[in-house]
Amino acid sequence: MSQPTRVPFLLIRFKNFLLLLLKNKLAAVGMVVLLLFVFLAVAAPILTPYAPTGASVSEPYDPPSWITTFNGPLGYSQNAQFSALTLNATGLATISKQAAHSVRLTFASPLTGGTVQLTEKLSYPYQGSPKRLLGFAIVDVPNSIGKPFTVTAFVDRIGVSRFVFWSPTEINSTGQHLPSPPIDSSQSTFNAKLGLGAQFSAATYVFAAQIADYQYVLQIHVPAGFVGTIDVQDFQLSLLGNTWGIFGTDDAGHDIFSQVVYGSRLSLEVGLFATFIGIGVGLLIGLTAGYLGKLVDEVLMRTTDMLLVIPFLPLLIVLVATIGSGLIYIILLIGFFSWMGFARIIRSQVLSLRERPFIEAAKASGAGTGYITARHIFPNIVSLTYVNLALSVPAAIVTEAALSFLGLGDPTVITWGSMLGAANTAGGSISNLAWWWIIPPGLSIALLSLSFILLGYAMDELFNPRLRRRR
Amino acid sequence: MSNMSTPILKLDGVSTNYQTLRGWVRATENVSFEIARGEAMGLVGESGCGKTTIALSILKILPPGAKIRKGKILFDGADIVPFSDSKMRKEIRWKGISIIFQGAMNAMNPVFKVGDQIIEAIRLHEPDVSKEEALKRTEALLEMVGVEPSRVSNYPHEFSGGMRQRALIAMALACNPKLLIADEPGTALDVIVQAQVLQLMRDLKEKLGLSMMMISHDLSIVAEVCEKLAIMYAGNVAEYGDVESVFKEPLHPYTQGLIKAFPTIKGERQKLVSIPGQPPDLLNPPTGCKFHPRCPYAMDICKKENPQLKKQGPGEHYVACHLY
Amino acid sequence: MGLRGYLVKRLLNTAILVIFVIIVNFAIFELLPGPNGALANLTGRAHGNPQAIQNLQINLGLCTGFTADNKCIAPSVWDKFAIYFKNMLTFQFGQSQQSGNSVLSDMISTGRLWNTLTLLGTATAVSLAVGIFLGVLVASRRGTLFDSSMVTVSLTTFSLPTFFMGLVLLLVFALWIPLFPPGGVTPSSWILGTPSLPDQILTRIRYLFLPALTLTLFFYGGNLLLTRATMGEALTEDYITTARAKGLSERVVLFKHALKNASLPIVTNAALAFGGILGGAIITETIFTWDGLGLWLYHAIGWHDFPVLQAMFYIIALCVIGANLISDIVYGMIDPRIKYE
Repeated sequence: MSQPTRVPFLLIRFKNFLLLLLKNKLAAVGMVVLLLFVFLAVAAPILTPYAPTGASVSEPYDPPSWITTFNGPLGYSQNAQFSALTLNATGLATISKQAAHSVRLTFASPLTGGTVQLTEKLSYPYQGSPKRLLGFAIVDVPNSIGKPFTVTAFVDRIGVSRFVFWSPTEINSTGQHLPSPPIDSSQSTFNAKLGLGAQFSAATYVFAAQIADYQYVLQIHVPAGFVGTIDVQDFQLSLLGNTWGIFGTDDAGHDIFSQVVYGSRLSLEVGLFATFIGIGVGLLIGLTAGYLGKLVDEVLMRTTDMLLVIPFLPLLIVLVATIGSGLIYIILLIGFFSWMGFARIIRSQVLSLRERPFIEAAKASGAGTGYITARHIFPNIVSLTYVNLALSVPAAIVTEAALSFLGLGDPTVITWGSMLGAANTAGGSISNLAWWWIIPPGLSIALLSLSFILLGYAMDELFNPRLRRRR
Repeated sequence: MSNMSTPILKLDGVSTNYQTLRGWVRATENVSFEIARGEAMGLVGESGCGKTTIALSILKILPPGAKIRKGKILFDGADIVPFSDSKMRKEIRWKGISIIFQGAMNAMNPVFKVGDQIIEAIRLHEPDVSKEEALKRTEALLEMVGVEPSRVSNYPHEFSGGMRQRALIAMALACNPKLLIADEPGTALDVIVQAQVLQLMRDLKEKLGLSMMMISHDLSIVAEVCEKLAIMYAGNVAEYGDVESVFKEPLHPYTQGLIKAFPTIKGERQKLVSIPGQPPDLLNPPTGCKFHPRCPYAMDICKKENPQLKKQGPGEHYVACHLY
Repeated sequence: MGLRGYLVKRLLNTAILVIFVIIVNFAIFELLPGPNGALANLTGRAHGNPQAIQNLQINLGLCTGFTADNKCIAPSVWDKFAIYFKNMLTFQFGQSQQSGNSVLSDMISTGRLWNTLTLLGTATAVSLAVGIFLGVLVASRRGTLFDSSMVTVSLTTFSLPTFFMGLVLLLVFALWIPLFPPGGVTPSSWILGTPSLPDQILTRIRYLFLPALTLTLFFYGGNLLLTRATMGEALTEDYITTARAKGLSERVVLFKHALKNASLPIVTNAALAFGGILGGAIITETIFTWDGLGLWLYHAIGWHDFPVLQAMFYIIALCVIGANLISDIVYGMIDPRIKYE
């Protein structure tokens, strides 16, 4: 009876309740799924290095990489990058490496002229060609001597063929900054450099679908008499594959897996907070109506009934459209318009409890209203609250997803619903409808909802022995 | 096949079992009795002893999972156990055998008019009858059972309990059945209405020469209407015979207990004795005679062997007890 | 109280609900700061001379009059509400900001209302028919494999949100196996000339199929589960045993005697679910570019077209209230006992 023993007792009771609940197979499945999503939400930054709204990670509409396990590796590629920078200056200059793809060449004594060559290598491992080829090289000559520098850049399929991107006639400058036109296979001028018709893919042409060794070479032709330094920065060539990661990419080349992982945070947030609000308001109104009765009851319940008739989603649509679509507004609005059913349940429970003999007995033995509420009414309502909590969360999650789907979601975050909405909008031309952009968020909504539904039904069965299946 | 001497209904060793998740429940076991034409037989026992199962077995409208596993049910000389469902529907149900359930309960469909439910039965079995004719017959039937014919277009909830019971009787007689089963008629009605219903049943039996099987937990009701009596205990027939001989000389200890448990108005004052103990769990019945745990005369053999029905005395009187 | 009294009571209740919806609408669109008063939008594109605008503002009740220096004398909230109330009851919703036409004519003469009613009608009817039919079958075969598999399937389709279901159907049956068109109500080639009537009907059905299937898949499950539960209860009643004993076939016992009793909660639920079906229709129309009220609403959100938004919300709420009234009437017709309550 003393106060200090109460908390541990409640904890023990909670533990026992949990154990009892998990004996139900479906509840255990629900709990596992729920914990999985909670893990995703908590560990999101560890699970994925990419921010959901960050820069593109690959080309748009890349399917997930694991489709190769079903379709075979033929024709598929992933992102790849040339690396292992080596320098061949053959005694012309001293080299110091500044970063992974940057070097500084120092020419101490005047030369008769010559060529320095930077090489990066790649053993191309995929049986499909990349979607896009994207290269850089920034060559700076801080102390120019007024004589032209020229540069050649090319890719060799070693021992077979050479593809020249920059020729000395194109890159020929006396300035401090040598021109660096984009090396990008998506540029319309790029094909012409390789002598390729506009209808072909330059990336496919260069990295024909076979496993081979390649090198990316930058040759700087240094004029005679040069003394000073040459800085080469960002000397690299990236190959953007035609598959990406676990769930592929969206229409802007964002990582869908990151969006799904971070989306679980938002869905859980919206579902739980909106439900807490709804439950709170529902408890307040239900208890008030049931306890005070008479006119208060009549007014509250009439209002509740009328609100129940107003279609929920259209109401939210107009409210969000007029008030604003911040995540906080959405949570508040869903919460404040989802208490009606629960308030009715609580009210009828209070009404029926008030008539029970044990309440009468408590009253007769002199117990006050507060005591009765705390000892008798509240424990009977707690179970209802748990069940309703579990069953309201999926409704809130799906509602938020529906709003986001319709473009009414918070524009600053990416939720599962807004992913589906974006996939739908992008799928305006049907061939752009990407399954890897639809299935992961859609299935996540369904599974997370289902986990709460399973837990809710199991709790309902636990608290209402009448429902327990006879065995 | 049917002549006047074949009994209208004869049960020969009928066992009906229910399949449950915990195993087979032997709702009735080796039940045998017969009802002659124009005769009324009472089937008496505590609730759950298998009386209603017998009625449902005879009509073959057992719930899913229940099955007649053994025995013959001879209706008008023909074994109906192998009959197909459509044959049962067309030839036996309502036309051959009709049944009256408790009127106080939901035996009439609450969302259809009383008259329509009777007309449905008539036109189902006699499709040639026009709607007007069926309506006329329905009104006549209602009048016969003492319900104002103008109430045909009322719904069951607009009837009192007694009227509903009467309407059920009218419905049961709609197709002139050869045998009428009455399952607890008048039960849950107040005593005066119950007496009126029983009086009606007696009158109808006299007037129409009905063969009847009356199921009840109340010996006194059965004694008023029936010529024959079968006492059931835990799915078995314990005693079976003429009402008079059973009442005068109850042989089975259970029957004796039942009779002692009812007060008589005319006889001398007796102490009312209830039978100690509970009816057995049919999922896990006691071995041997199912009554032995409650029997004051239980012997060793009673725990081992289930007694068979044996003829006893000069009249039609059978008992299943090791005492005899 | 007879059936008439019951109906009068329901009609009164309906009238109160309509008033309530108008009040909510007024509160959202006139009192909240967002839309700057949808009434203001009634002036729409009334560019022109100041006198004409002033007349319009007085006619629309935006101003009760003008001061000497042409400042508008704003009406009180009550005056505004009175005008708003009248406008709502007479379906005067003002002009759409997207098209500049009157909202009412944009709703009706473009065929949007008809398109939505076609979709909703088909989906509601099919999901009720399929749900109830399967529910009855499942209830009569309780505990069998058929029962448990049907329950699992309907729980699954029930818990998949409409927007997901719609996209997956679109993906599978319009992209991977192109059996159906990916969207629209009719082919665009019909602008040039419509084919023969049988062709028209077939093509329309092909266009209707996927959106209707999406909505149906979401709503048949609830009907099935509810029918299963209420039928399960009805089948244990004595009158079912009586009906069987009468020699009625199992079909008549199930679909006449049991179903009529079991249908009462289904009727109530159908009306309640209608609000959900409307919500689903907005999403389904968006996915399948089905040119109905839902797609219009979706576009209105993007355009911040408040006159359209408020009209849509009002019309949708009226539809739900209407569905509730119909369900009340049907309930009164099915259950003879209701007249006496």
